[in-house]
Parts: sequence; structure tokens; C-alpha cells
Amino acid sequence: MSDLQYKEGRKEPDFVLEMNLRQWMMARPRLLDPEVQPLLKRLHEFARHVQSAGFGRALKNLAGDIADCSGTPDLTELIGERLCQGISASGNAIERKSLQETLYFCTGIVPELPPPEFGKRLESFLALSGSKGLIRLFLSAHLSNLIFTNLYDFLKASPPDVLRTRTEAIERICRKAAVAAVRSLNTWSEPDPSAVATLLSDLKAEMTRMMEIR
Amino acid sequence: MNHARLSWYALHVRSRFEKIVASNLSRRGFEAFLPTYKIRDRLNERHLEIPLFPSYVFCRMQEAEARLMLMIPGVMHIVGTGAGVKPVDEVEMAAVKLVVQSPLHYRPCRFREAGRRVRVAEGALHNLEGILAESGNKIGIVVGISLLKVAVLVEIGDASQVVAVSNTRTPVSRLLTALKPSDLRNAPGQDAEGAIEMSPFPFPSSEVDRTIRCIPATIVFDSSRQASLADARGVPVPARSLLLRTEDFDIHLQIRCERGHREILGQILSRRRKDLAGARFHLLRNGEKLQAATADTLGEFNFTDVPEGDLNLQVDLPYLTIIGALSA
Repeated sequence: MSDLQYKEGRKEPDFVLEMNLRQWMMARPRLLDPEVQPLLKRLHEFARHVQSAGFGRALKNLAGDIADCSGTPDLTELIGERLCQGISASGNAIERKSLQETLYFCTGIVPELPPPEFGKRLESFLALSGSKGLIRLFLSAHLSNLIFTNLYDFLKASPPDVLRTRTEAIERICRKAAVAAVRSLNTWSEPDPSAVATLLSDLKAEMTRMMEIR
Repeated sequence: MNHARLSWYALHVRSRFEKIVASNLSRRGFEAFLPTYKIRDRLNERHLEIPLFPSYVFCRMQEAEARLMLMIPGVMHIVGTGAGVKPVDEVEMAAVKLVVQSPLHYRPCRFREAGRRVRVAEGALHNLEGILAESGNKIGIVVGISLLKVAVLVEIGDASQVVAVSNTRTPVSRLLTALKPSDLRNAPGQDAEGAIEMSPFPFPSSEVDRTIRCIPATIVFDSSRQASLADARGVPVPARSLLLRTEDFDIHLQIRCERGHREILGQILSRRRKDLAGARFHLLRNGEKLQAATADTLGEFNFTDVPEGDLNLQVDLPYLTIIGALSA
């Protein structure tokens, strides 16, 4: 069953969405921008640090004083900002958004958690899924955010019911591509540049493959 | 910021991110609105507050700011139409706000484009306009956001709290214009549901909401059709009696003609409902209202100086409209 179908029950693929996604992918030699490579490395290191030293220490190491953080929104903003710091001059707004969403996903999508509870949930997630799980969530969120932003003009012309099914289809395809792409992480010991490049290359290959499936 | 140019926009957000997006919008100085309602969590025996319209959060902003919203965690897109991003209708937005701020019980429901529009005359929802809905003995009003095709049903206890307003979407007069007297007359045995299916409504049957209750009444007794008996006995027929029936409503009519003046005396009766006092009756020809009358406490009403020719009778109750055809 295609991931691009948008009319439930009628099993009709959304050819217009498919065409726009294909064009978008063809126009991008690299699916994700180069700054994502160091970001993935930092995310992996942060995850390892949380696993080994606990959330409190990892956060202190990353962000310094966290006295001002009252809950999830502050924490996700702070972590997103620090992980993206200095990666590029463009501001990394989408990367920061994707990182924040990733942190919400792995702590249960709860609007307001006190820092200790947030840390406990992140530690539990990492204990179960490891840095691989965190990177998978980030890739899925970031890829879909890139598509939402780059296909903004196309999507804004969609009526509400079609927009809903199209955004869901995009989320679904990105999630599947990310799940398949992080398989290469099984061979990672440390995220060296070539390993990250392979991961991103796998992600593009998976996206292409997803588009071929009917 | 120029507040005059601010409009409400619907943000389409990731699943379960509604509260996060609303919180983030507020943190950034935007006015956000996330309508929620309470449900009972049977597992934990407690009440949960969940979004009324899942995946949507409303934000008051300028159109130029729409694209910036994509940088807020959880936001996927801004809802629009084929022509681009579009604000939510202000009146619809105000109606939804009024409902969620009221102490009354409300819940999401199917969006309705057609139906009988009413206005709440008093109480917490004073002046709220929406589409009347009925479920069993409960009366409710459906208020929707047409851009999103989502709606909320708010329960109002008493049908007397609402008054009919002009309906620009499914005007009853249009239904009557399209309805010929012969379509309704002399069809005993045909139930009301069947009559709706067979009536030449100007709308596809899918657009006619069954809960809105605009139903035809059929003549099940007409004394003028029994004239042979009266003639055989040589008894003059003093008046013509008609009985119109639909579901559990009977409308008894007596059409009298004295000295060239026609009048109609009538009574509406129901096997279940006792709240028929105040029901409005209209005599119509080709959809145009000629006369109006109000039922008294016994459900009785009368029209004087009734013109000749084919006429329709329309009965407006707070929760339904009955249409019948008669030849006066």
C-alpha cells in the first residue's frame, strides 16, 4: 500500500504530492544540509553522556547553569540551542525545531514536565533505544520539517482535508525512511564523518525507495 | 503590532502536539486558542481534557507571519484553501469560544453545512447562532468552523431557549417551493422517512441532515374524499376536515366557508410531546408566507380570510419544521 495515498478507503495515491516530492528530491543533491552532520555527532555524544553520567550532568556539561529552566519548553529550547550553536551562520531554525520535537517525542509529548521528570524520561528512552533511537527520531522529524518548509507553497494550496492527509503521508514516509536509514548505526562505534555521511546517504536512498513503492 | 489586521488562523500540528504548540505560541507573545473538552477516563476514573479539534491550534496573527509559524515545534502547516492560507471566519471563531467558555456540556460532532439555523435567546449562550440538532429528548446546537469542516455540539436543556433565524443555507421556503402539493397529499402508509427520500428537495439527500428534522406531513384523512357517503345520506357537508400526520404529530384541520370567507381551525397534537404551545403556523403559497398563527396551550390555532387554491402549511417547532400541503 502506498504511503502517498490520501483518500482513505479509496486507495488512490496522491500523484500530485508524489510529483512534488520527487521534484524536491531531484533538486537536492544532498537530502539534508551539511550542517546536519556535526549536529548528528553532537546529538550522539549528548545521548551517550546522558546514558553514562545521567541527564543532570550531561545537561550541565552542555548548557552550564540550568537554574532558569522551569520545565520542558525551557529545556528543549536550551538543548536545541546549545546543540546547534556555531554549526552554521544561518541560525539553524529548522534544526532547532526538529531537535525540540525530538526531545518532546522521546519524553512522551508532555507539554510541561519538571526538569527531573524530563531527565528521567530521557534516560529511560535512551536506555531502551540508545542514541540510535534519538537519531532516528531526529531524522524523521527533521526530514518532514524540511519538506513542510520547502513545499510550503504547494501545501498551502491544499484544502484542509487534503492538507491533513498529505502531511500525514509525509510524516509516514519520513518515519519509515529514518527507521530504515539508522540500520547502518548498528555498525557505529563512534560517529566519524564517513559514518554520518553513509547514514545520510542511506536516508536519501530510503526516501527514493519509498517513492518507488506502490 | 497593528491589531486591526490580526486574524485567527488554524495551525495544523503534529499529533498530540496541540498543547505544546499553544504553549509555545503564548511564550512567543501570540494569542493562541486551543479549544478542549473533558472526557471521562474510564480506566483511571478521572476526567481528561483533550483537544476539541485534534491537530488544530488557532493563532491570532497577520498573514505575513504565517510562514514563521513553521518554526514553532509541532507546527506542520497553516490551513488554507486552494487560494492559499486563509483566516478562520471571525463569527465562527467567536461562536466556538462562546461554547467552550460556557458551563454547558459540549463535544465534537460531525460538521453540518445544511440545517435549521436557530439563535439562543437567553442564558450563557445568548445570541449564539447555529444549527439545531436533536437526539432523543435532548436539544443541541451545532457550531462549526467551515474552513476546517469541524464542529462542536453544545447541549441546551430547553427547546424554548432557541428561536429560528433566517437560514441562508437551507431555507425552508426553498424546500417548500420545490415541493408540490401532490408530492405530499394522499399518501397514507408512506412513512416520514420515506417521504423525505421521495420528495424533490433541491438538495442531494446526503446534504439533508436527518437530525435537523424538516419533515413533510401527509394527509391521511380528507372528508371531501368521503363525500359520496354524505351525499347518499343527503346531509350537507358543513366543513372539510383534514388530518395531516407525520411521525407522532397529528394536525387536525377544519376548513370552513361562510359568506364567501374561508377560515381554518386547527389543532396540533403529539403522542409524546407536551410543549406545543407557541408553535408557529404559516400558510404559504409558492414559498411565500401569507399568514401566520400561534398555537395556544391546547395546540389550537386558526387562520381567517384564507385564500382559495393550493396552499402549504408550515409548522415551526423549536426542534423541527413540519410541512404539509392542502387545498383550501
